[in-house]
Amino acid sequence: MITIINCFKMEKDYDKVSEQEWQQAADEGKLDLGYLKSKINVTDESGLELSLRFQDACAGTGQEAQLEAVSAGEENVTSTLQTLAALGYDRTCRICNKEELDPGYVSQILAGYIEETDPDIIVCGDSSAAGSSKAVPILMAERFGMRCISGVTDFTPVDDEHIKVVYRRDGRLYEETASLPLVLMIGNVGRTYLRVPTLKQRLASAGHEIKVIEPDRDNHKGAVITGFRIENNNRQTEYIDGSDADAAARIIYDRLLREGVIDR
Amino acid sequence: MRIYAVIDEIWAGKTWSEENITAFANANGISLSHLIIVRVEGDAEVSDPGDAAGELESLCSDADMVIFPGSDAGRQMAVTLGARTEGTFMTDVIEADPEAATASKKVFAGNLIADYRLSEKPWCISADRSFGETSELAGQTDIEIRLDKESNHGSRFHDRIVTEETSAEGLKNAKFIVAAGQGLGRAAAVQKVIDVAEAAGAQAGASRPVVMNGWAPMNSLIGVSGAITSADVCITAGASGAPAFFAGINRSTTIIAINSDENAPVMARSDLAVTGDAEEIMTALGRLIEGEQDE
Repeated sequence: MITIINCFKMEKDYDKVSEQEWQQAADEGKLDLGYLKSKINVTDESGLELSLRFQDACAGTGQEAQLEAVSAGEENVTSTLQTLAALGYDRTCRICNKEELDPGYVSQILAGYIEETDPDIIVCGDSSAAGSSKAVPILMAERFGMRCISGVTDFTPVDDEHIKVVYRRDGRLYEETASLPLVLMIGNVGRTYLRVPTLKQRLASAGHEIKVIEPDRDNHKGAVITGFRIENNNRQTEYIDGSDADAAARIIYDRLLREGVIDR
Repeated sequence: MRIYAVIDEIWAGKTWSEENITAFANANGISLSHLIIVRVEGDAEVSDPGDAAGELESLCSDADMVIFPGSDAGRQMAVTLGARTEGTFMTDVIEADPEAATASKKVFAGNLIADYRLSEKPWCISADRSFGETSELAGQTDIEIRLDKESNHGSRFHDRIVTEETSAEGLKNAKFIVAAGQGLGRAAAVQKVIDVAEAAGAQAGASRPVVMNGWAPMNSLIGVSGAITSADVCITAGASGAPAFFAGINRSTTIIAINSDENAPVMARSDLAVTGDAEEIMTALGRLIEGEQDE
């Protein structure tokens, strides 16, 4: 039996926030995005799906994988955890947390839950869009004395003590058989959207209970945010109407000729 | 102040690490006091950046700040060393002032810059990946420590296959890039843009949603988690210009944006903004280029 805990986070689509709102956030030091829908962090979602694929692959080898999912965030994650339960996650947990820019604290509260399970594999996306620290999985690996592999794009079962891991690091692709336990930090993986449960799966998991934890806030030890700013990358832009595609293409073509990147 | 820089010869490579750290130090007026080269001797096998951080722990015990390159390995070493020394870590740093104990990085998908006050030393930071192309070393390097890393965790390897990725270097060095964005809406439209790029002699790239949809290969990814490019000309087709993507094309001399939404962020950040259907305009551009080739 291989036990896998997936850590994931719900987050807003920050690309939907206007520049005026960002400016206001920078000026006032706070951001109110309650009107925006949340979705699973993209690399966390890949990790959740890859764990399900790992479980599927185990079924063909006589091995068994038990899956757990835990989310530490402010967002309402209940329906997502119910979906994960329907898909085959045996245990689910929500840890209430508002400190999305403090990776030290996030890793601490996640580790507090995870140590109860003593998993063989901890799976996390490589970073949140909010903090983008790429630190939480590494800090958990340090806390548990586990090896952390970053940039993971796939993992498959070998036996109860080893798995095959594929990962990308600084322009190279690695494929190796690694010993457990491991922290797997999921990188960009195409076509790994979370599968949709069937009605039968949803009905079968109807009685699933989600554990909810309200952690105590420890004293902060890391770097402290003192303010926000906006980076201005605007240029002297020439706007043209492209409703006539051929005319617009001609303007671009002439510009490419002038810039010397194409030849007549 | 004792400020160490770590050059990663194993994963990111010596040249890239040096350029990245030197540009970062120069931009922030930081004089480096020690240069630590993380390298491997002979054919000894090194497993993870975390192991290298373990070796660095004693070397950096008296440092005020340790600067790592903004590579995958550099980030992991910075966080690991910060955790092990109970110092302060920060990744993808764009500004740092050791005298003032401050550092800044982009947050909220690159939409804001957060300014931080650093606390416990050593401050273990990795430079943002966008720093580069500087050859002049900041400050005087008076000591060079060579870390000859033996395979102390080699026993964990049962087998390992390493493959070099191909087109990442091509994008980084390309002078003409055509980048496909999610606004194209479907795989066929992205393929059309890639075909036009190839006909024009440009390197094709893509935004993150495009590669996550499987519409373009992962090694064509442009942005903070892909290639940081510096082309003479970059055309974006259907890309909104989200900061995470724009960071990968911001160094371009000329940016030509094609987008149906004239208020998309990429438009004001480009030199030529074309409001229209990106697939139709790129198809028309392809006809012009092929027409010239046929003549």
